[in-house]
Amino acid sequence: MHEFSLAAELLTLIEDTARKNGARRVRSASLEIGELASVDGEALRFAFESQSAQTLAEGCVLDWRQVPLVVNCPTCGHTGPTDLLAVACGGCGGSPVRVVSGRGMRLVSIDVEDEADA
Amino acid sequence: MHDIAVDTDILASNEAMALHNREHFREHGVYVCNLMSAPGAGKTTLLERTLAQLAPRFRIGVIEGDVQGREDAERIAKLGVPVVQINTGGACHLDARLIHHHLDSFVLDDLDALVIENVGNLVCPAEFDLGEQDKIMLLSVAEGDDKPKKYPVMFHVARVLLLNKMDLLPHVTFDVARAERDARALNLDLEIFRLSARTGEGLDAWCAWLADRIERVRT
Repeated sequence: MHEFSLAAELLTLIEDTARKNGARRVRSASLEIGELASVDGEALRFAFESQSAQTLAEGCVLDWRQVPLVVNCPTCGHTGPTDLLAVACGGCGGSPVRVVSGRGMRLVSIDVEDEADA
Repeated sequence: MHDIAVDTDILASNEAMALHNREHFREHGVYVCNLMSAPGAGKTTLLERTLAQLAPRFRIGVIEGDVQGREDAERIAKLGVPVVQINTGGACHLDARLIHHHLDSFVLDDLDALVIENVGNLVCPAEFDLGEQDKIMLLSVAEGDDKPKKYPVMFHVARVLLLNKMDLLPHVTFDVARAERDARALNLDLEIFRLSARTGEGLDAWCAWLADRIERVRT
């Protein structure tokens, strides 16, 4: 259930950004979720909905794109995607490898209503 | 209605606070490690045994993180080590803000090292940087050798993996080679120590490693 913790951080970031920009309401938020972050999208949506009630982000729709896990192999130098359950080099099959991208979770943008929309 | 570009990691505010903590520790020459595991892997017992070896050599403080209760802090206090108990009141992990709030409880200039025992959980603690230098992960052989495959983030972020309860190996199904291979696949630089906090087997190598890390910050 780390989605609950992540949703709390996400909500704070969305609310802070919305307030700084004088927004009245946040309609949607666009996210990038790394494959290695092991985030369940539906659990995140539920956790976010339950925590965002009576905030600027109440009713905010979460859209996300999964960022595939990409690794770099120190043995052969290959950089490319890999299978999360068998983290290994897609080039030579070697393991271990270094993670290049596909970690963590980013808030890309939010779509807000401001006073002009009232 | 308009779009606002944010492009920020959702853990950015925790990371900013962790950075602040890290600077603070560096200024005061304090080595900090974050001890993480599932509940019952033996974090507090390991800590007791580690402190018994290292507390005579270094000035070590401890932060105990638990959902509730003071049992762990009381165990550590018996060793004469300064300890603060943080109760998260339901939260499943410590974060950088909580650590920052409790730093006033210590005189950092009087410490060489601070050990933070996180809330028992293999998931959330891995995501929340506290400002520590090293993340130390404890996996007991009683938990099973499939954990690196099931909780990849924890193994990915750890600097050290301590395989604890090695004395139980004859009684459980745990393929040490498999667990170590799968953990290293997720983490090229992972250091692994096999030990038993209960019997003391393997403890010297781990304590020597930790002592070296503390020395490096002190000098």
